[in-house]
Amino acid sequence: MENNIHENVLEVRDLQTRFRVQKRVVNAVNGVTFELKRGKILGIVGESGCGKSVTAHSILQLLPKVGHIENGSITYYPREGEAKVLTDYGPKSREIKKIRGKDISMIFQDPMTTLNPVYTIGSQIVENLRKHEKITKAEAKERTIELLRKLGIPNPEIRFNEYPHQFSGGMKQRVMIAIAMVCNPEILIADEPTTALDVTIQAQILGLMRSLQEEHGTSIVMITHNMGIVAQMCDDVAVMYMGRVVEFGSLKQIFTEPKHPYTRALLRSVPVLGMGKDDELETIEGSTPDASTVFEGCEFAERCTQARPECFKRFPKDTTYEDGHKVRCILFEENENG
Amino acid sequence: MKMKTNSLAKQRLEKFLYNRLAVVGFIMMMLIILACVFAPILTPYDPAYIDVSLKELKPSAEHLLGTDRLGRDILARLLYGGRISIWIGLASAFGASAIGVVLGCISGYFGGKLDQVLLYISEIFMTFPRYLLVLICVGLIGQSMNNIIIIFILTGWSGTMRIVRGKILSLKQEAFVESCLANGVSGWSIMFRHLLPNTLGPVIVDMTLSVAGCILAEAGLSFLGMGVAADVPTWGNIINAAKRLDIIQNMPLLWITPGLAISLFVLSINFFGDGLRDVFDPAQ
Repeated sequence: MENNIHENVLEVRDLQTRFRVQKRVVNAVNGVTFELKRGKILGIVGESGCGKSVTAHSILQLLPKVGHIENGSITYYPREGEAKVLTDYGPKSREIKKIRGKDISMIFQDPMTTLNPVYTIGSQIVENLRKHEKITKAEAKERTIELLRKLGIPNPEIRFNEYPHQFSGGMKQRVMIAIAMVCNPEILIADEPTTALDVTIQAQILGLMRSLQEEHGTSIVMITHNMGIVAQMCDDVAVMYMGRVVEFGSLKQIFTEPKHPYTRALLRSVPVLGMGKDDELETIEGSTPDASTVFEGCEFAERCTQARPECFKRFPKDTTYEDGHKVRCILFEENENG
Repeated sequence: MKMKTNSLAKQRLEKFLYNRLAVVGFIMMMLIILACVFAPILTPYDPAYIDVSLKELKPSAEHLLGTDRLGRDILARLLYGGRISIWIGLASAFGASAIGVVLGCISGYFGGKLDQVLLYISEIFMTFPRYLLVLICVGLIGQSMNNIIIIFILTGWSGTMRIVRGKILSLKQEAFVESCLANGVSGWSIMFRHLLPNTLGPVIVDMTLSVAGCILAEAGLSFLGMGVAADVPTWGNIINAAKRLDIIQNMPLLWITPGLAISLFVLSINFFGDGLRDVFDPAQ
């Protein structure tokens, strides 16, 4: 790990995020480890409630009051300068506020509500730019209009002075991307950026993100439950289940040789072009257990078709292959040993 | 490029001009205010000058609205009285709203213990009968125009605070707050720059209503002899001076004109406030 430190722009080690609601304690994220390579797109996939969003919010310390990072570290390696351990900063510290929106920015799921209805979109983009960079209003406006044009918003000079309600959903998401990208951040965290949009707009938005990423060399953490988006966009994939990364690997590794039974089940439940119309899609039996359940063994065991008695008794360990493919399953521990 | 630089202000102006009622309200309000401000130019008479030989004159070219029982020119009293009445109304409503908005923002945004304490304080002010409080205050700090304004501000902020607090409570759950946080915006900035403007619609309406309320309350206080000193003309004082039955019957101009002035001013400021709200609420 030590010799390729600058290959990664973000490293998350053993992250544990805990929510305390009255007396109930929920480990929403439980020992998550992954790294984001510079200039690459990392997809985090999983069912609803598996901790994808909490992981993303933990990176920028944007957790609600009841949540806090219990354990683990998140390290950001800027292109220039010292590595920054984000978990050392408090959620309200000046350091983290400087990083938010400048080095690491975030796009949210629902563009309809993430813009302030009383300000023009232009002023909202300019606000972010002027907070993090010392430039004049006129320069900021020029850069904003330029960015809006790049994002495919027609008549950006006029749209600059319009309010969010005058924009369609897809256009709003473009504006959100503009706000997030205006300072040329090194990392962009996209929390289900296209879930609220229809399919055509989805494709446009993803294409835009891709081209911006290529142009600026931004690294992206893409959070989604859509396997299609992962296949289209990502370089690496982390599959999450119940607050843990169950499998981590390159796109190719995950899609052509998935190892974890959960990943396999996920892939089998997605329609593939060319499948017969009578072929049935598989479903994963059961449903995600309650988040506060205390496990003694593998979290997936009771829904797993390949579960063995052992699976219920102890936690699986991470098994790492030579090509970097990681899987957290008892079945593969044995394969490696024997 | 030149057109675009002020197009936002222009947009807003156009929106305001489109609302006929608001324009009418604005013009009427400005006419009344200007008439009061330029009272020395509009009328040659001193509102306090007593000349019993000229008492109870009917309207004429010299005294447009006639004179009262002490021979004072009614128009002059009306205009000079408007100065004080309007000033009391505007200053108290504005001051009370300002306090209410700031406390409401803090209360709603931070929540917790601070919110509880501020709510209790506002409850005390709300449950206590306002007039009683005013009477006590007047008794304690004395009778003058500035004291009246201070008292109206102190007793008037709790309503606005509750409106703003409620709005902020729901607004802070909105996704754009999270988005602001993700862009490194600080808490105070979110509170006053992002959330506050979203609450201004109802606050402006509330404020215009409270201007009206303060003008009327001042009239009421004057009636009780606790308002502005009786020899200083205010719209309320003029009406109260005319409360005798023979005046009501024989000299209707004495009470109709200040009554009309209050009604017209209150009405126009309400229309204007309504238009303002539309301008500042882009979703309208």
